[in-house]
This record gives sequence, structure tokens and C-alpha cells, in this order.
Amino acid sequence: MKMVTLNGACEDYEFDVAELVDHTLAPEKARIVSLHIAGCARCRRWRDEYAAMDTRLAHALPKPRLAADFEWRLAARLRARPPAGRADTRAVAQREYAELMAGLRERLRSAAVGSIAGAIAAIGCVLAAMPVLIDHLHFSLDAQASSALFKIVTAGVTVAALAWSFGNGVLPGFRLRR
Amino acid sequence: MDPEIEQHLAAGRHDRAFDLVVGAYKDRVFRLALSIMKERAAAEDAAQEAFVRVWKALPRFDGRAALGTWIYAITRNTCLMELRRRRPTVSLDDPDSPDAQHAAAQIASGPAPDPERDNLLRLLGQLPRNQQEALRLFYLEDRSYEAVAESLGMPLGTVKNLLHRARKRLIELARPEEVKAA
Repeated sequence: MKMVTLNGACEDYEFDVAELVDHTLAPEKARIVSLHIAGCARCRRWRDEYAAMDTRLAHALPKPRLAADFEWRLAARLRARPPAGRADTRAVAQREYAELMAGLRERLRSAAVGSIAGAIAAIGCVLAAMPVLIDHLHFSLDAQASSALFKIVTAGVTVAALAWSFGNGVLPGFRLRR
Repeated sequence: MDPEIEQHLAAGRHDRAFDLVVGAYKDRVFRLALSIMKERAAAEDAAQEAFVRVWKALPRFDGRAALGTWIYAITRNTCLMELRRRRPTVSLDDPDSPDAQHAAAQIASGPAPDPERDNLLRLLGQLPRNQQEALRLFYLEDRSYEAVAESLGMPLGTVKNLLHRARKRLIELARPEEVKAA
């Protein structure tokens, strides 16, 4: 078979011939192109080749239809999905936020309890030390009173520090963080 | 967009809107998936996955693009991701190679042998991917340029040009084979 190639004026019709075969050319344009084809052997051959290829493709390419149970299977697939799907994204975020806030609240509560315990211990120490101080401050402090005062203050500061450390999770082995 | 779908979306009734979307777009989505995946089973799976993604994203659809354009874009992305995911597992070296295309065509064609058809599909496999997809979709969509343009998200003129170049190239590829056969 002799190869058909469109050159010169015929080349201008190449695209139009394709649209003519596809029946998408405007009527007036189709009439002009058809007139040209009628008088041009090359373009006629081109149209015939193009139309033959169109027919072969239409025949060769499969046109399967969608399975009848497509929607049913899709619905089943959507039902089977875990709740972290579409609208549940917000619910998951809200749950994570609530858990985070609960953890923070628990930490704050523990810290508050520790701080209060520390404060009570410190106040207790001061109150316990007050009579001794009052008894001894009338006079100049002797060595024995100084020693007792030192012990009391030391014990108070230690208890307060331990309580603060416990409450704030500083003390090793007593961290309250989850 | 279908006014009923639009109403349901505006009212936040996404599940009802989705049911209507599936009914209205399932065939077009399947045909688009088929033009890319080339196999019926793979196309159905991709179409299912595309609709699952549509279902997830529907509450965020803001109407800036046409609903169809948006759905077809999701379908194309789903298919291309699936093709990329499959690439290493394909036994043939290159799934885009003519041999692989031919093998896929033979699988899709079923048991009845048709040498002329197989030969044409083999030649079709030699075209660039965008031309193949456009051609397959064109014949699946009963030769509608508009449907192809909408599904592929391309201007009408681009689609016409693509289809014309594809068929012209196929004619050129078929000539030496026909000369040999004669």
C-alpha cells in the first residue's frame, strides 16, 4: 500500500478530516472539507485510512460494564472501615485532646497536693519551733538553744524541700508523670 | 452539579450526598479508571478506592472546582498511585513497555484469540501514556470529546489534538506491519 502523507494545501485539511470522521465538524465546515475530499485522491485515502483505524479501535478496545454489585461492595467497604475515617477525624482529635488535658490536670493536682503538704510541713515546723524560740530569745542565745533552733529549722527546711520535690516530680523514683 | 447533591452538601448531609454522587458518577469513574489501569478488576478496585477517598473528603469539598472535575482528579490520582505501587511487583521489567502492554491487553481480552486485535493493542501500547489513556477513554465514552476532556481535566482543543495525533501515529505504526503481512 502506498503511504499517504498530506502536504501543502491538503495538510490544512488533516485535522478537519479527523473531525469529519468523528462527526464533530460544524456543518458548513464539513461541507467544505467534503468538497475538498471529493476532488482530492490523497485526502480521500487519508480519510479512508483514518476511518478504518477508527473502526478498528472501536472494535478492539473493550467496553466492560461496571459490575452490578459495585455499589453494594462499596457500601460494605465503607461500613467495614475503622471509625478513624472521614467525619471521625475530629472525634479522634477531640479524644486525644481530652486525654492530654486529663493528664495535665492530674499532674497539676499532684503538684498542688505536694505543695500544700510542703507548706503544711513548713508551717508545722515553724509552729513547733516558736515556743522554744520564745523561751530562749528573752535571753541571749546560748549554745544549747542555738543547737536546738538549728536542728528544728534544718528539719523544717528538709521536710518542705522533700514535699516540694515530691509534688513537682523532681525526686527520683517519685515522678508522677505517666 | 446536580442540584440535589448541592442541597445535601450545603445542608451538611454528606452521607446522602455521597449516595447520589456514587449513583451519578460511578460509570464515568470506572471508565476513567479502566482507561488508566487497562484491566477490569484493577479498574473496579481503583474506582472503589477513589470513592472511599471522595467519601472521606466530601465534607471538605468547597465547590471551587466542579464536582465532576474534583472526582475525576481524585480518580486519576488514585489510579496513578496504584500503578506506582504495583510497579515493583510486575513480573515484566517495565510495565510501560510494549510487551507488558501487550500482555495486559491479552489478559484483558480474555481467552478468545484475535490476532488483529492483539496486534492493534500492541501498537497502542507503543504510544505515549497520555495518548493511550485519551484513546481508550474516547472509545469508552462513545467518542465524546467533551467527556474525555472533563475526565482528564484538559481543554477540549488539547483532547482533540491528542486523539488526532494518537490515531495518526497508530496509522503510521500499522503501515509497515500491513506491508509485511501483504
